[in-house]
This record gives sequence, C-alpha cells and structure tokens, in this order.
Amino acid sequence: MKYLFISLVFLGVGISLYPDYPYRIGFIPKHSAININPDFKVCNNKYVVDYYNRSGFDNNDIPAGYIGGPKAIKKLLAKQYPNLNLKNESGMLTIRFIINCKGEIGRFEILENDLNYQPKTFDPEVKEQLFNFTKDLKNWQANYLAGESRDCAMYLTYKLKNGKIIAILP
Amino acid sequence: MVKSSLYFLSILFLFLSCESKSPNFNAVADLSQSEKDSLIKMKYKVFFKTHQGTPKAMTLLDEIIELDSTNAEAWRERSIPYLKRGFPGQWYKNYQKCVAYDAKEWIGWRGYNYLFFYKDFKRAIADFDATDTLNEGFTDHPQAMSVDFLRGIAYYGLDSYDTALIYLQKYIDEEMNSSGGLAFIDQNAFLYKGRIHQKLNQHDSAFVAFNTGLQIFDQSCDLHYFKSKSFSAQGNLAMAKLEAKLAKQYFDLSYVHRRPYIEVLDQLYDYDLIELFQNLKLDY
Repeated sequence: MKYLFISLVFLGVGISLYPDYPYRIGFIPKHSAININPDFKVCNNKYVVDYYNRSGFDNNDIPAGYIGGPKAIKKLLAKQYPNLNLKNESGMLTIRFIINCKGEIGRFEILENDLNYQPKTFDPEVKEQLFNFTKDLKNWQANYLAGESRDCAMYLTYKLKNGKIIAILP
Repeated sequence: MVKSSLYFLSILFLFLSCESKSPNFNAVADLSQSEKDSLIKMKYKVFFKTHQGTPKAMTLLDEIIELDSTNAEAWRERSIPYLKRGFPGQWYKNYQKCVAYDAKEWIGWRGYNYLFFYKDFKRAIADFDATDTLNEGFTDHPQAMSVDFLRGIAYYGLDSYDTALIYLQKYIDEEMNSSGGLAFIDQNAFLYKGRIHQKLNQHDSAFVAFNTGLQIFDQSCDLHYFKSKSFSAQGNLAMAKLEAKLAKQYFDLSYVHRRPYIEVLDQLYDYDLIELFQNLKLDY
C-alpha cells in the first residue's frame, strides 16, 4: 500500500507538470503495451534507457540490439518464412518493445505508416505474421551502460514495398 | 488507513490539477515581441540542460513553439527523439514544420535523416538537390558530411552506380582541392567506390579505390574485407587470404564501418568474416 501510494503521488506530480507527456518519448508503459508473455519483467522500470544509449566515457558500453543486426534478421526471416505472404503491402510497420537487462523482449507496441510517413492500417495477416516473427526473436543484446546491463526501448521497422521487405530498420 | 490515504490523494490531485503546466507562463497574446524573444531564450537555456525527449524537454519545446510557431529549431528538436526511437510518422510531422520554416538551414539535415534512418534514398536525394539550390555556391554539410558524399551513398543505395560514382568523385575532388589532401577524406567514400566497381566486376578499379581508402586508414576492416573478395573473384587466393586475415585482425579491434543508431549499407558482422574464412578454407 505504501508503495502504491508513493507511486501515485509521483505519477500525479508528473502528470500535473507535464500533462501532454506523462513519459519520456519512447517509453512503453506496461498498461498500454501488448503483453504477450506474462512472465516478462523489466529489471528497473524507473530507468529504461534507449537501445543506442552510451555513457560517452566508458568504452565498455555496448548499445542494445539484435545480435547480427537487421541484416541477420532479414536473413532469418527469409530462411524461416520463405513463403511469407505480404499481400502486396507497402509501408512501414514498426514494432516497438523493451529489451530487458537479461536480453528478453516484451511490452510491444505497433505503429503503422505508409511510405509517405502517414498513418495507415496494414492488412491484419501481414501485421500478425511480422509481429509473431518479431516477438519470437531470441538473440538480443541488452544495453550495457556504465558497468551494468539495462532495460531499454528498441524498435524494428519493416519497410515493405509491393509485398516485399526492402529494408529492416534501424 | 486506506481511506485516509485515498482522501489525502484526492486533495493532492485537486491541488496539483489547479497548477498550470508552467506556473510562470503568461498568456502569449499579451506579450510583446521582445518579451517573447527573451522568454524563448530563457526556455532554450533550460531546454539545453534537459535530456532529449523527456517530459520536461518536450514541454519546453511546446512552450517555445507556442511563443513562436515558426521556430524551425524547436520543431527540429521536437522531431529528433521520435526519429531515434522509432516513430516515423511523428518525426515526419515535426520535421516538415522545421523545413517549412527554414528550409535553407534544415533541408539537408532532413535528407541525412531520410538516408540513414529510413533508407529513403529518393527523398534524401531530393533534399540534397534542394539544398544545392537553396545554398548556391556552397556545399552543404549536414552532420558534417558533404551532401555530395551523402548523395553518392544514396545513389549507391538505389543501385544507380554511375550517378553514385559521379557524386562520390565530386566529393573526393572537392575535399582534395579545398581541405588539403587525402587525409581529410572519409575513407568510406573509397569503400563505396570500390564496392560499385566490385559489383560491376571491375576488380582492377575496385583495387584502386580500396587501396586509396587504405592510404587514409590502413586498419579499415571493411576495405581489407572487400579487397579480399575482389582477389578471390580474380582467383588470387593467396592475396585473398592475406586480406581476409587483416580484415579479421581489424574487426577484432572494432575498426569496422559503423554509425550510431542505424545499420549502414554493407555493414559487416562477424558472420560475414566467418563466411569469408570458410570460403577461403581458413581457420577463423
């Protein structure tokens, strides 16, 4: 009860001072995320960094990301799903999520844009296929910052043109 | 206990909700221009001490924009957390405003973002061409990179090799003539030149490019790696192996082409080197 009370006070102060931005840009709160795995936990909800964060003075820092980069994801996708049916879709399907300090992923959210950066709605099957593929990716490097593994926000954008993946970002 | 806590919370929320988001923020309409200018200056001062994309930083930018909706820098700053954190639509919306209010300054930077963050090569080229027109007689350098070099990379991304070579050479010539020599040129301009020749099976030209790049930085994993590929394609396995070993040596030292935030075109990973070693029957 004590912790709930303190959290609510902090939330109240935050919302009151910055009502348009209850969280830093990119943070994915649990209540609004797609929570696939109920066991997924962040190690420190108060300190979720971004995948690219480095302290700037520690050469041992390691930015987070998929081990092998987007290039490896593209290869894996082609190998695992040679007959992926992307239905002539074009646009940018962005899946945002958290990589926790153990290198596990969870708290997903999906953003959909066309190739002109405008909102769009993807075909549900296309969205589902790419989402399922992403959520099952295992080989993640957690952000290592100032001597500790951290939770961080990460994203993958599948850039599609006429049913073909032309790039995986970032 | 629960009841009293809830009672206290209600009072607290009532109190907090009566506060404006910025207590000293006057109604904009009542302010003179000089008052607005000094407020903007003050808010920027605070803003530059905040972390990018935090509620405080974003609110300050909103307040600056409320004071001056044509403040291109504020629109740009507002866009950047969205750019880096995977919000294409939000980035675009904010950056469009930035360019609308100061295209001369920021259109080249938008091209840089299109190129590296979205691999949107056509839009990047359009912006680089536009900055040429807007900044006549001057080569724009968004993020300290010549737009000619950037345009070369963008055409390479489009597989428009002839045009890519023209712009990469333009960048190289310009740097050679203005800044005092090879050492001031990014070796990756020669990397991409070499890659184009390699893809076109012009391996002798590729060697010229790779070797020039190596004169700038002889520990480049990428230049040695692709040089090895060209030797391999020519059947010179002894040289291919030698270059592959150098590539690995410098990969292990992290002397490999990378940019923060994104994956560059032709970025090398350990599995690329492992595959090269396997093909050359070398122990990794």
